[in-house]
Amino acid sequence: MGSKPVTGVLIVDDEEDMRALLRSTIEIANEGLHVAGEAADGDEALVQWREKRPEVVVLDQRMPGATGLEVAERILAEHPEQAIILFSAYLDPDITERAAQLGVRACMSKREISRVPEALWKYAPES
Amino acid sequence: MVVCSAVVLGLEWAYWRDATSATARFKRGTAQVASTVGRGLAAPTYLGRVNGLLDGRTDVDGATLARLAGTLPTNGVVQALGVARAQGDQVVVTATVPANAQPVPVGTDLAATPANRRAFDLARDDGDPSVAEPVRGAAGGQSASLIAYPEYGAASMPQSTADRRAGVQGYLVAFITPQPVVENSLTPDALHTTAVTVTDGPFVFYASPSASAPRRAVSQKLVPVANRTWTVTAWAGPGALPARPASWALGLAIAALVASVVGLALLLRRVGRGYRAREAARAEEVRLIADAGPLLQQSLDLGELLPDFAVELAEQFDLDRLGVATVNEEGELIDTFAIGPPPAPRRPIVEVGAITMQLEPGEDFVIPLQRTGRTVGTLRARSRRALERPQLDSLRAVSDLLAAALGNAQLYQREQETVRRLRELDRMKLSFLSTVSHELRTAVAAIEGFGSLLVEHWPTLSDEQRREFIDRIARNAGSLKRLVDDLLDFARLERHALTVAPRLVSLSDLVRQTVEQLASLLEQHELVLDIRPDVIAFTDPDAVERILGNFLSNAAKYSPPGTTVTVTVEPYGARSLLAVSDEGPGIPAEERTRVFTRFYRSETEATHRTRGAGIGLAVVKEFADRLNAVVAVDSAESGGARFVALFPTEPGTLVDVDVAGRPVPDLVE
Repeated sequence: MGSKPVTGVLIVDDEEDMRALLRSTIEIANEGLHVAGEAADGDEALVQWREKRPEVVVLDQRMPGATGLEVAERILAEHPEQAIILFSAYLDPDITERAAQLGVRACMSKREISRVPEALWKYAPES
Repeated sequence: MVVCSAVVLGLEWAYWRDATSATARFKRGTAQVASTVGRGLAAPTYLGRVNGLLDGRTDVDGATLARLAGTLPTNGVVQALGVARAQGDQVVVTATVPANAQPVPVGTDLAATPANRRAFDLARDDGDPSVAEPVRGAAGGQSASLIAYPEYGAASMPQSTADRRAGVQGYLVAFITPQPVVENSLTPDALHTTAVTVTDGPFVFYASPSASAPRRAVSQKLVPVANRTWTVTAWAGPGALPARPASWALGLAIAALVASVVGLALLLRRVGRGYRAREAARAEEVRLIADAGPLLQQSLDLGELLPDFAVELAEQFDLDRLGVATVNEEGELIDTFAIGPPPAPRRPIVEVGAITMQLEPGEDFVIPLQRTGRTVGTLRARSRRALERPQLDSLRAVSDLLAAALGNAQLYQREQETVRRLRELDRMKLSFLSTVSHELRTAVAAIEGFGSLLVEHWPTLSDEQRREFIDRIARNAGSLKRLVDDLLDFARLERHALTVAPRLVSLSDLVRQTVEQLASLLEQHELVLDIRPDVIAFTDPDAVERILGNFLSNAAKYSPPGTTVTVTVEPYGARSLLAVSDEGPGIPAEERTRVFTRFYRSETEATHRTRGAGIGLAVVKEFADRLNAVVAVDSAESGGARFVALFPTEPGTLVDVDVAGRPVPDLVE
């Protein structure tokens, strides 16, 4: 497994607790995953994304300012191949449908946090 | 006027008719008089009889004559009679009855006067009696005429005139006069009321005392006396007849009547014109109402309604200025719409009411717009032309329509406002539920997530990690508790089921204890307590905890870490004050009353960065209301927010002023 390339993850969530939880989960899972950066809102997320060029972006949907989907749209406009996982407390069909249209790879509930490393491995680009 | 004239004319007519009728009656009376007098004057037939008895002789003595004559007519027509002998040119009286009668004394030559001479000659030539021209004062002061019967000495009369001239021996003579006849025929009363004259041609034999009266109801009787004709004229004496109304009076009355009729006709024509004008105005009004009615009824929007209506009204009444003001909820008149220049200040304005008859051109006027006795606005206007009663009535009718429309529009506006508020409340509720569910999920996800990490990776976690995860679980559990409290409060608020049990407590102690319990909320802030000892309040300790908890969690959420949060307790007049000040961005003045509204969350950046369901301060307000307390927010000295609660210090006291001394209703909804 050690030969697996390192996958950088950008965590975007306005809740500090959720960022901490994601970070801890990723760090504990280890195995080729590392947290490349964290952002608390959409603007900060774009700055971090351009700077860190993470393999995967984990986006909270509900944030002050731009929503997760709006941030995803802007990222995908610049880089359509970017792997993005929408990670939200509440997912309704409208959001998942819109996410699929935009090219977001997966939508996950915050209740499924233990499955996040799996998803990261799954959607991380083979390089 | 016509009636007066007709009455006058009628009176005059009746008067005139009475007079005419009286005159006719009187005329019958005067005819009677004339006839009576005339019959009396026919007495010379007596003389004819005496003449027959004389049988042509003239040689009778006085005694014989008296025997033949018998009694003279009692009516006095024959004053005296005698026998006279023809002696050449003379005719000398030889015997008289009565003896020595004054007009015909024995020995008198009666033919001495030419008038008598002519009468004697005529009688002699004709063989018939002949009457001389009357002589004034001839018989005892009375005017009288000589009458002569020729006597030829035999019973038969000579055939020819020449024989008669040759054969005449003398004459039976008498003096006849009408005066005693009249006076004996008529009573003094009749003589008073009736004027009588007896004339022979122009000669007036007799004139009764009232003969100077104007001749009315005149009757005449022609009485033949031998060769002459006497005329008896009788007429109404003075005052015997009602005076006829003067013809000018009658004419005047007729003229007045005619003038009245003409006047009445003109008046009727004018009234007719007025009626037609009113009909035209009515048609105008009906048209205007027909035009304006649907316009006013269909439109519920004042802004949409007024311009169309104003144009319609201005055209109809030639208005160069028109303004509509409406009454707002505070009862003030607010100008809503106007065309044309506004009236100059202090310019007199006529209020048009039910009794206003006319407005001059260019006169400013105002019509109150009333609905069910309530003034909903005013219509002010000015017309270029004079407005008369029909136009004013129309204007008032249209104003009534406008008032109804304004009332509808205001009602509609209020309903729209209610709908807007309900929608807003609905939106806030949805937002609240959405926020709460997000917060719940986030907190639950954090607890679950960190719990899983602890359970699954406990052996490999460092102590530091374990500590951190447990702290995070605890903190999220606290958030969860507050969220649940908020939800429960929300449910109670919805049911109006918040209950309080106030009692006298030491506010100082209560606040100090509560701050200690909630210290974890303010771990990242510097907490300053400015609590005076022994400040009491009549309140519910649990409610005070909730109020203080909300104030502190707001301060923690909205002010940056490291800044100071100050809790103050002090007496405030007869009340007690609890305040929490922070050094955050503060709350804009316009939002200070709304923050206590249910579900309200400020639209500021700080709000978005913090968790919150928008229910805490609504709960605070609800508690305060139930505790006769008042809560408010103002600006702290630092520029941050200062949340204040004022509590009563004894039962039954309302806190009625705020921290700035303003009446409470102005400050908190």
